[in-house]
Amino acid sequence: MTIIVNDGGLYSTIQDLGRYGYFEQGIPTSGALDFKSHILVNTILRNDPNCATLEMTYIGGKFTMKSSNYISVVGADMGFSINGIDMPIGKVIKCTTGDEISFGKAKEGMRAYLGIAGGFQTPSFLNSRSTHEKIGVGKPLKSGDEIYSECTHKPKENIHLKHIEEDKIIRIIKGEQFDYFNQDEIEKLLIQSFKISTESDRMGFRLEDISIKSEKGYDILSEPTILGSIQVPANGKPIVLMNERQTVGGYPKIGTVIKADIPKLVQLQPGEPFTFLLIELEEAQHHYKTLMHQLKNDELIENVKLAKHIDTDRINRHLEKNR
Amino acid sequence: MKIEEVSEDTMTITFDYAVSEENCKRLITFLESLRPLKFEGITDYSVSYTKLMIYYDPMIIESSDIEEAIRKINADEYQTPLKKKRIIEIPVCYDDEFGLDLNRYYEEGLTIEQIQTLHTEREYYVYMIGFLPGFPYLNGVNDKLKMPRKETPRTRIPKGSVGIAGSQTGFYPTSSPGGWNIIGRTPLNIGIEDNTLNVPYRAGDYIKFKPINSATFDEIEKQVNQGTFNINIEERGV
Repeated sequence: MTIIVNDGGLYSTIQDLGRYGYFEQGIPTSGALDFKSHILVNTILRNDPNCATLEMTYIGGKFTMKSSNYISVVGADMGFSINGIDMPIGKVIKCTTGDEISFGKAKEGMRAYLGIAGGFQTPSFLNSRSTHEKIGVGKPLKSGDEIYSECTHKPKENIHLKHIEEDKIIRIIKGEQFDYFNQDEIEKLLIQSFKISTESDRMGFRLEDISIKSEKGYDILSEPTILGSIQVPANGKPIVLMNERQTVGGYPKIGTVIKADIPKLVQLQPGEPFTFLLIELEEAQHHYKTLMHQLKNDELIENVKLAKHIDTDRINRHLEKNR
Repeated sequence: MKIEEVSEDTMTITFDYAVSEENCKRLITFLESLRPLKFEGITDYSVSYTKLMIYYDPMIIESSDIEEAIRKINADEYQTPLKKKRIIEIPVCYDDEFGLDLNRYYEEGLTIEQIQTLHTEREYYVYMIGFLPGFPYLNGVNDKLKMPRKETPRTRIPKGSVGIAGSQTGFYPTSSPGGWNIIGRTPLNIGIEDNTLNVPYRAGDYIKFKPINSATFDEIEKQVNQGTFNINIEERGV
């Protein structure tokens, strides 16, 4: 059972929750940038949260189903359609052989996650299917690729995502070298609004419209890096370290984006303004646990029976008629 | 011992802020005593010059539980290494063909023989691995070999290149941009190749470079590609 890639889109890679246990040998975790959407699409499909999904960046791909299976999409709105019919996000959709799945440019959000019942069965490396192109583990999808999947079960078709309005405030905690920066520089980070540069990737997000000065220089003794760290190199342009960051780094770090807000950060399009808010570590811990608890207990999805206005059966009937 | 929570899922342990082999050894020995406890919820460890970082899943284990367990370990007992000293031999060809920045040393009056001798006479302690998969951070090159990073980094340093930056030395397991002064190349396949991970050393081991000529380089490269080359690893008692 296979999906054929007709067009890989801008940058589409297979991701799971990441590669753990090899950081000390220089291998970063990689994994889905928006772990929340990744987990949700798996939850909707009744997959294990670590099942591999397809992460598409800004411009999605085009695919042909070579067999029947259930799919779902969570994250950015990339104009998801099947056989030319618009499809909703966050719902289970039954696909049959020959169906053309298509995505375009993101209208809202930056990354969409295409999940499939049973997960994508690409080769696993060090217990993870996460692509990490920079270190030679997998490649972004291109036309002609085939991705294997196996329908292992029938998901519940009558569930959908709760709609939750999100603001553009990214909460941070103090970084490991917070004391390298004086009050004025810290205020710059907290008062201005920023944009993510187009020169950003799964390794790091560059921030535009800001230059921060360190009082104690820009060279620190190289030390292990953490997800979301905002490092300030000598040119003063901060970089937020992401999933494919180098495992050690030698620049001072002013702050760290809290884990609960990583999904929000990675859904910002380049040029979209946002602001930082400094909070305490204890709060960050609380927010992360709350989010993971919600994900674990299915609190972010609901039964369609309770919300009649979106009816999966109706979508599937409509698809059926047009096949 | 200082234990600090850094983020929602990381904490660091520091004994001393000095960069020394002794300080790093203490961290690594401490890690080797922590590792066998196999904490459920600890996902990764990472050692650097002065810090041991612990990555954990806060949905499985609380930072306070890790801290409590760590406090129970008597740090003073871990001043001396638990394991044998391991020395990993890395063959290096110092020919001009590979040593892209040997000129910088020639300008200082050093000959290729001197560079080779000075670089291979020491056993370098592996302080940490990072930057690229398998990239070893080695420190303490002979004063005569100390050389600042290149002002303009190269956009591509070939795989296997052995370099010097300040008093540090190391080699690039994969091709990468970089600013180190390149003095030679190893034919070994370190890091990730054909979906297998090959890093024959850990932080706390030693690396010794062995000079080889270009004929030996070709021969080893052939054996490496055939999968028949065995890296020489020497173990000495504590």
